[in-house]
Amino acid sequence: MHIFGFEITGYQLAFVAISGVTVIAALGVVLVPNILRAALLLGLTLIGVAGLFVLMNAPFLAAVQIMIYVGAITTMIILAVFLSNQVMRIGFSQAIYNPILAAGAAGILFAFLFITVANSVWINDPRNIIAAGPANSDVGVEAISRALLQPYVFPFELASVLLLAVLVGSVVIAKEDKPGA
Amino acid sequence: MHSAYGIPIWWFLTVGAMLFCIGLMGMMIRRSAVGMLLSIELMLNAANINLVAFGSYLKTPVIAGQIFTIFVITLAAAEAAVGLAIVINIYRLEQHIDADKITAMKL
Amino acid sequence: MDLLEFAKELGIITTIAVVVLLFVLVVVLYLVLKLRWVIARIQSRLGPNRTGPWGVAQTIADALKLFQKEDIIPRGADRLLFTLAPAIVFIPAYLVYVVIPFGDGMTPRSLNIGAIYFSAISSIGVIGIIVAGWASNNKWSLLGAFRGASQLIAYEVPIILALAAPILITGTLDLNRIVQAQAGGFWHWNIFQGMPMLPLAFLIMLVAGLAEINVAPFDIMEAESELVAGFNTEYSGMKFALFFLAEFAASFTLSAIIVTLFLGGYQPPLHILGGQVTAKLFGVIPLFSLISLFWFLFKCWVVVLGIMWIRSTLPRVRMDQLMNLSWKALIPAGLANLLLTGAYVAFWMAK
Repeated sequence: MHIFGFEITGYQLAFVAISGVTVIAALGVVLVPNILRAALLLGLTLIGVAGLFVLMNAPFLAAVQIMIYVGAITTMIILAVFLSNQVMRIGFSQAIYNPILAAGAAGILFAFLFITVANSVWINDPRNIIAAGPANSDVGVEAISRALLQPYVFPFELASVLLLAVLVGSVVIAKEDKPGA
Repeated sequence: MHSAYGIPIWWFLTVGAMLFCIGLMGMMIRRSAVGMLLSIELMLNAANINLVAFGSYLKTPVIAGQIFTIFVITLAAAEAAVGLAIVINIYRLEQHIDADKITAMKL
Repeated sequence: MDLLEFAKELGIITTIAVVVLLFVLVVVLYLVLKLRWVIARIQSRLGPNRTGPWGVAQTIADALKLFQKEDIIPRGADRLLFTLAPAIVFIPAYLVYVVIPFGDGMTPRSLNIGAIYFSAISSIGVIGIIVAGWASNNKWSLLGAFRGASQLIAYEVPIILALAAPILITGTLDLNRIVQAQAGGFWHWNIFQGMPMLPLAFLIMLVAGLAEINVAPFDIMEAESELVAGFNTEYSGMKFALFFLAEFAASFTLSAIIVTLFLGGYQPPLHILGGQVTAKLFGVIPLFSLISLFWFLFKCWVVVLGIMWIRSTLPRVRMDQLMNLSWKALIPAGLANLLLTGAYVAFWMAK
């Protein structure tokens, strides 16, 4: 459909909506003083990122993102917020120059990245459209599982060893020292 | 059947850049340790968006982008777990988690 | 996809969403009543039988009562989070219905990642419970919320491990295709394949699912003798109604998933009981779809009856027994089951 001479597809609208939610929630994560609300806004950001994954033809990854990030990590962060109760009263860095410096540095970095990215000539097509795969194909999930078990089996096994170490390690670190134990 | 999506790749990369810079800003201005962890998660997600975008927008899309992202998600979960365990420990020791005030390891 | 097609698609999805929401509300209405009748019958007494003929208006009366209750927000509570928490619990419980195959060609959206979408979305509800406990500004609610969260997190893993068995047997994550692979008669149902792995997976899913939806004997989170009502304590009126709704909708969701994965979904038990119908009602509606909807609802009803039966007969387990059951019994069993199912698929299943 052509509006003002540009061709707009429905996916572009969906992208604008989802990325708008994501970026605004991310700003909330960083600027809201109450840590609990910041953690919940992080959950919203992560759901938005999962939506972006769907738009990039990676639905399995979107489901994994929601399951791990929102289902597990956000819950963990919220529990940690409760266990360190003073947290809600700590706000932002007290030094006057620090927020301005931080915003300035981040802004410059973003401008740099944006100009680089928007002016690059990406391969394939000036507008670089990807075609969606057939509607109900299993190719995505099957390709991931095949890749995890054939070329990438070593990092896969290494990641499971790492997770075991993290499991044991975080329990040991967070354990209370019982007197006389 | 679906037709083309019509989303150029640099849109996704811009969102990734925005999330990264917002996370960076958060890392610099947040004083509480949990706040810093939240910003780190934002930066990791920005990297994930970039990885998946580069994997999907090739002429023949490559699955390595998504595989790499799965590993990044796993490692982010692991790092968040250990980080939060350390935060809880520091809270027990100092009764606060204000990163500006924890100076025990300073020379 | 063109903007116009997109708008049309959005309209269709919204209509389906509204229809599914109404369906969930009607089902919850019926389930609340059925639960009270079943519990009464097992306890040798009459259930609600005064409001309306045979007591059918009981749930409507309860709902009206809840609507007109005063909406109390405790002093010192975080108002925004207090109001948001029931939504965070109810919305995932409702979103799961997108992937459930209600009948032939009647899945709202047959996603090719259906099973993992289900586990991902149902793990979001935990956050709502924690926030509800915190936002009540009540020590006991917070404790109840912590217990509830640890219970829910502990039982997510056995559900996913049990889910993996029928997925391995069928080779796809798509719930619609898993049901289609169970066509032909009740001996093709997944619960009878791959003995003894799949029946074990069915049991693991049932037990872990009961714990996920806080049904007795795992209902520490909401039992009246435990911390008043746990994270629910300070909620009244519509907000409490949302929690209540989410809980009953979740019990129907669990039975729908069990029926889909293990009991043949919408397939009739014997081919003669409707599996061969290709006629169309009024020339447009395929009769098989309606028959399959009937079979799906019937099987769900049987499983829900089983859940209510368990609910009214078994005593509550202690918190530590609950945790031990998950981490020390169900997860090792689930892992062993996964290993054996993988070996079965790789070596014994007919190619």
